[in-house]
Amino acid sequence: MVLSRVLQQLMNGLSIGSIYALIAVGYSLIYSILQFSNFAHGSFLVIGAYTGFFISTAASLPFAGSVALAVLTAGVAAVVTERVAYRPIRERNSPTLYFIIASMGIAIFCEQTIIATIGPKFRTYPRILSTTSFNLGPVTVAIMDLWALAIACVCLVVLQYFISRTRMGFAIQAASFDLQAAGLMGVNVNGLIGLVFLIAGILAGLSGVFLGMKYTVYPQLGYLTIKAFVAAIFGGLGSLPGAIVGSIVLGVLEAFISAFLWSQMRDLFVFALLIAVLLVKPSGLMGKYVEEKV
Amino acid sequence: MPVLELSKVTKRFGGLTAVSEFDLRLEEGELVGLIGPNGAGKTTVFNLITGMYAPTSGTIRFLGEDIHGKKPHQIARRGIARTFQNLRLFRNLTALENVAVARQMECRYSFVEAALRTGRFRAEEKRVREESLELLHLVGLGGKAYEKARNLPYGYQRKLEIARALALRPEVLLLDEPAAGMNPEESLSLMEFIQDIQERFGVTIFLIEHHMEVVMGICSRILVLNFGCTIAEGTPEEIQANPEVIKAYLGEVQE
Amino acid sequence: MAYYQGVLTIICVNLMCVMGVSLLTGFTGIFSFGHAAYMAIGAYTSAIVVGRLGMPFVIGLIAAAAAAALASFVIGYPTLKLVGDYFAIAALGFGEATRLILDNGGDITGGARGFVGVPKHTTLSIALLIVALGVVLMRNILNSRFGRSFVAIREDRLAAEAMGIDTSRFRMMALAISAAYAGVGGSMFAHYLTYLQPVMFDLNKSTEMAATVVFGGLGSLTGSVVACVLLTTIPEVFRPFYLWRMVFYGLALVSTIVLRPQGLLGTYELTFERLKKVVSACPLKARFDRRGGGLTGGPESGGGRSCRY
Repeated sequence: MVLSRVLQQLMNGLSIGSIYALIAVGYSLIYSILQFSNFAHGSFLVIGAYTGFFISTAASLPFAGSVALAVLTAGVAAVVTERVAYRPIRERNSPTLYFIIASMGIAIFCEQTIIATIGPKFRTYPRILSTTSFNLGPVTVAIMDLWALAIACVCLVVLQYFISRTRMGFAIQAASFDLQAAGLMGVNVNGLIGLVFLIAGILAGLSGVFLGMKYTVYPQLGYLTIKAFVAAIFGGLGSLPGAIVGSIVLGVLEAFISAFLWSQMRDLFVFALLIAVLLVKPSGLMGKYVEEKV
Repeated sequence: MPVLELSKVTKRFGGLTAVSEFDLRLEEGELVGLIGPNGAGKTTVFNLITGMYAPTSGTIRFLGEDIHGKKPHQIARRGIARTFQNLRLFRNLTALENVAVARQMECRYSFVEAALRTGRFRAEEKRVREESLELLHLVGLGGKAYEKARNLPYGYQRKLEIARALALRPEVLLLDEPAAGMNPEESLSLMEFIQDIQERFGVTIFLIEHHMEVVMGICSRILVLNFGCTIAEGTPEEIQANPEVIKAYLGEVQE
Repeated sequence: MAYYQGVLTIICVNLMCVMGVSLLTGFTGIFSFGHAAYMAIGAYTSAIVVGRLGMPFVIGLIAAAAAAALASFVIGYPTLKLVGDYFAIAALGFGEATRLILDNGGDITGGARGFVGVPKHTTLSIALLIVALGVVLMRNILNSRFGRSFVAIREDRLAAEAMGIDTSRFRMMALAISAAYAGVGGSMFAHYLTYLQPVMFDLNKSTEMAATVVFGGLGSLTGSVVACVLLTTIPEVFRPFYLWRMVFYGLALVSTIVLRPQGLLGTYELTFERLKKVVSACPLKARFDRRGGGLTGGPESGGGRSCRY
């Protein structure tokens, strides 16, 4: 029954793709404003995952509460990161290179601190959301995946509304075209950037919780953001719809390759896709490639 | 034969036409100006000549050779040098090193010779160093040779960029708003400087400027650009009296 | 005693790799988070050439450099034309991809379990010799039109292009040279440790190299050397530090770039002139005077010069 396998993989791909989308959107948002790739994005994810794990195992909060706290923690971590590391660089008008270096440093620092303190052991989330699945026709759907997909969709819709209908959202759009000009037009640039990081952090934290539940929690969980990076580039860096489309497509392609070809090929495929995109159309499906003014 | 010849050069960016049917003939030793309101396409013309953009249509001939589609470094090597509107010095290098980067173009020593520091390497390096120093002295920056470019006063930075361009020993020198940000006194000094360079080095100069006293003072001929089109061409006197030019700069005169 | 020799040898290995990264990132301004891949390629190539094919060590070294440089051509040619961010991402991808390929190399590479039985050839004296040659070669490259071109590209690629420098070609050259250095380092490493595992050349290793160069000062070869010695020695000497050394690398990267972007030494270079001044009080003055006289150095202006004028 090839069709059922295909549909199954489509479902799997959709599910993982929606999680990638949460990551990719936050990453793309930061890129569109500050014009740099935040390699520390994985750290926000990991912080969310671990915080969620600790709170839900230790405290007696309802699960939703733990998730909320975890997500908030990740958001705060993102804001703090921006304030401590990126803002000084931005204010000094340093080359973009410095952002990349700093973000990579933060990513390594975060991952390694977790390894050195909490330990590299895998941690499992408590079985709150039943791991049972149900059958939708020929396809097996895990309840948890459905929740993840649903929540991801809701978040993205809310974000889209926020960006395109609210004042703050307009400010973000303006800033993504020209940060300096937006500032001159009276936008509180520092506050805006803080907000953007908060949003990105929250989304990353949420995806971290989902990934932690779906797989397990471990320090290198942040590496999955590399795939989201590729998805964001594929969809077009700086474009939020592009990030979503790219993530879904990547998730689905990954699922297919993993199932129908060699599972080891899955990761290599992602990198091959990256190289292909960068060579053929660096601006991705929907991105804008800005020419440097001479 | 004109040194530089542009024929019906057009540049379109998507739906926007930045430069339209631009013609230019530069004869050897001329000092020609290019003026026009902001956004008229002047720097785009420079970028087209130096190969940073490829023309959408039209031809560009330098010393009789078609340079359409050549890369910027190839065009620079052929003999067209430029300065930039917003200064693009190598900020963390010294003035001498800035000039040397351009002067080293004629070096022939190979990678292996550099690695082994052979006789040819030493000789050519010595020559680059001496010629660069000499050039700096000529433009009046001799005393600042070992200062980092970013620490130089603005006026000196502008001069350094010109010196660096001259180090390429170009046939044609494109100066993009060399007097930008200067007060009248500095502009006057720059005027003399440019004329001096032209006499001394025998370069053909094509100049973009907003400071009218500079342009009118030293250019033998001026082209006026507006919205990518040439609206006038002539001597300074002719340009100053041209109603189209006045309209472009000051808008319609209300009757 | 053998322990200190071992540490020194590792310093030499790291130095070779770090010098390559210094050229690429510090001097040419190309940031790469996948440079460990070239070290890996060099290590495995040399291990195979010397260990399996029975060639002499020197051939192994050359093969390592060549293989790494060749790989850099293959990857660099399509990716160097990308703007900064994209290249760094591509490099990261390449680094991880290389590790994955090595992990799945089956019998050829020994897979994730490792490649054992590499003949031991890297003695301390050989390592020191190779590194010394490497340092001299690097300095000569930097103090030539090639070095000046690299730095010009770092400072302003567009302007460098306008000054007649084929920036694409020189960027590729910088990448190839830096890859070759990493390859040689990898070969030295393979024949010192006698066994290899792909995980030795992961993102941590790339980070280590990048952090060292940033910490020492982007644009100072001396800085890279000093930082490398420090950052290799301290975790070895202070064993408790060893567990936290990656934490420290990450912290070093961030705090350096935020608090003191010029790193330890900025663009300061130790030249023969400066060495002469230090030594001039010594009775060895006469010997150094003779040596230093042949160099066309510039006067001692404040701050550093990466091209010696």
